[in-house]
Amino acid sequence: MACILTLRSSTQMLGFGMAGFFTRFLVQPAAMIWPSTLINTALFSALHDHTKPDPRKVSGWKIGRYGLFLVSMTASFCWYWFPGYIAPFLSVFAWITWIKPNNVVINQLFGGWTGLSLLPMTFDWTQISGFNFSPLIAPWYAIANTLIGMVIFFWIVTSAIHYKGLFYADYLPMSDSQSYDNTGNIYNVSRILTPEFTFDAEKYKAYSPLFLSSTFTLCYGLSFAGIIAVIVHTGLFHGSDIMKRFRATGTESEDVHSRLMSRFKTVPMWWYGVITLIMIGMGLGVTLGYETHLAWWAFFVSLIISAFWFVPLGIVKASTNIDIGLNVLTEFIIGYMQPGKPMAMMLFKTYGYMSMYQGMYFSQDLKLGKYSN
Amino acid sequence: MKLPPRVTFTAQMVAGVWSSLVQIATMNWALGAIKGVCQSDQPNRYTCPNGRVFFNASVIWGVIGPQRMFSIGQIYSPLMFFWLAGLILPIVIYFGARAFPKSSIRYLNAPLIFSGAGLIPPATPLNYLSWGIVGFIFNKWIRDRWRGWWMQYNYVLSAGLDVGLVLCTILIFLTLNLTATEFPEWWGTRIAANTMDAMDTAIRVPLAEGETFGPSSW
Repeated sequence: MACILTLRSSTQMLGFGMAGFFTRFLVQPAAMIWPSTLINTALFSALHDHTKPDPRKVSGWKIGRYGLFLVSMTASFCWYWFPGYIAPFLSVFAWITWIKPNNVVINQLFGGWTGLSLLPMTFDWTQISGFNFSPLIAPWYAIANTLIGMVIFFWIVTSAIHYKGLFYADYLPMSDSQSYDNTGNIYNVSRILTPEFTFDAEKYKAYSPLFLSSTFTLCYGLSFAGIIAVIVHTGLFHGSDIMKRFRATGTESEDVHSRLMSRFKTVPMWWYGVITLIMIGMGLGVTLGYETHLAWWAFFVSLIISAFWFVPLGIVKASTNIDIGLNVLTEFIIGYMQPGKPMAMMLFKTYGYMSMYQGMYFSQDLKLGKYSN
Repeated sequence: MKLPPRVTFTAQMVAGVWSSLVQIATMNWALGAIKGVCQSDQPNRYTCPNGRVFFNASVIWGVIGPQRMFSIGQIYSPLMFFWLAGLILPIVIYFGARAFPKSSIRYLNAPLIFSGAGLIPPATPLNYLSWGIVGFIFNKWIRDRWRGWWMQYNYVLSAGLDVGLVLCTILIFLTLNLTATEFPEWWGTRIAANTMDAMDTAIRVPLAEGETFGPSSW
């Protein structure tokens, strides 16, 4: 209990400390928009501002912003009963698979649950906004880049892998997040564990290697590429700007928001420093005080990873509203550093990935505080 | 009205600590008070799917480990070339954009090309394509043609759609899912549920009982 409490708050507060340290790069620059905060500010101001717009400026519409909010909210609320409860076929509208429910290739190509959705149709806002948030938030160039990657990798490369039978794809589904054994059943981890929950090499040899669906396989490759690309990209396109901000401390006259903010006392860096130090102490306490199998140096490696990727991933999130995760990278690194120890992996992933992920939301809220009007 | 940074700091600090306490209290209450919680046959569907996935991934990756998956000689070792791809593509884009400054190469973004759709699986191309089509309609087509309309309404429309959906989801969950009330069966509940796609059985070479595939030693 005390262990979970310390783990939970140290993860979150480490993120908080990092968000504070990196304010200069992720919150102060005007280019760091944090698009989803625009939704909040638009909504907050609409809730207070019930005036009618000038119809000449808004293509002749007469409804106010508050009115449109109420109408769209009510419509969305009423409509979701259909895809969400009464008529689930509206959610994944893969009508070709309904005509041929037992044709393997048609289901693989046109299916919307475990297939490639060659004819993407849905009448369900959950399907549309479920993974990259509402499409009305992200700027068009971010959407276009995502679509380019999606088509190249998940339509073209995935079909090539799957129908060429690479990675034993003949025996595996096109797209799901299960792990399979060599009989095509779900991988049964308990069959390769010793009684102490560590890896048993003999049992593994007797059982099976692990197999993944075609998109899951590719997903690991793309994670490797994305995590390196974000560093190289940041260095090339934002490197000189970051260096400039790194040197110039306390200059904050970038946009109207910053000028208005300058009349307030800033939060001194040492506040964040103290929090970070306390939380590092607590994290180290959890790591060493309980049977986590995580080495003390591995704990520090996880903190370095999360601090190193904080700004590059923050820039992506702040300019496009798209999250890129460190989950695969942290799994990969701890897997090589301390193999065969599942508890250590969970902790490493929590400190390496979740602390950065939580911190990102603190940065976003700092920007919201700046925009509020 | 701007929020002073020190106010934001304090509010975040308090909220952070408080949410830790509330979450842990809720979790402990749930683990103690709900009968059969996190069992796959829990009657009110408290089956903990997220925790299960996190646990399975950790066990699988922690136990088998990347060296038995990705190291040289293992099944998935070709994927290691993607590290190289991640290094090269941004450099190509950077110099491509310098060589052809008027082309649209400068809008390309390597991290997004690799990881924008990074949640497939469990997400599917349907999620990203429908997201992209709606995004094109609003943030490109409407924004280019009816900028005034877009400035006035786009963000509140987005908020309205999201809020309506969340309220409806919570209501359906609390009233119908928790009581395990299914909608009466009809064509619309059956048609999409009984495809190979929905049942995750679309496999080209199904194995008979006792047959295996894959390498002969590992």
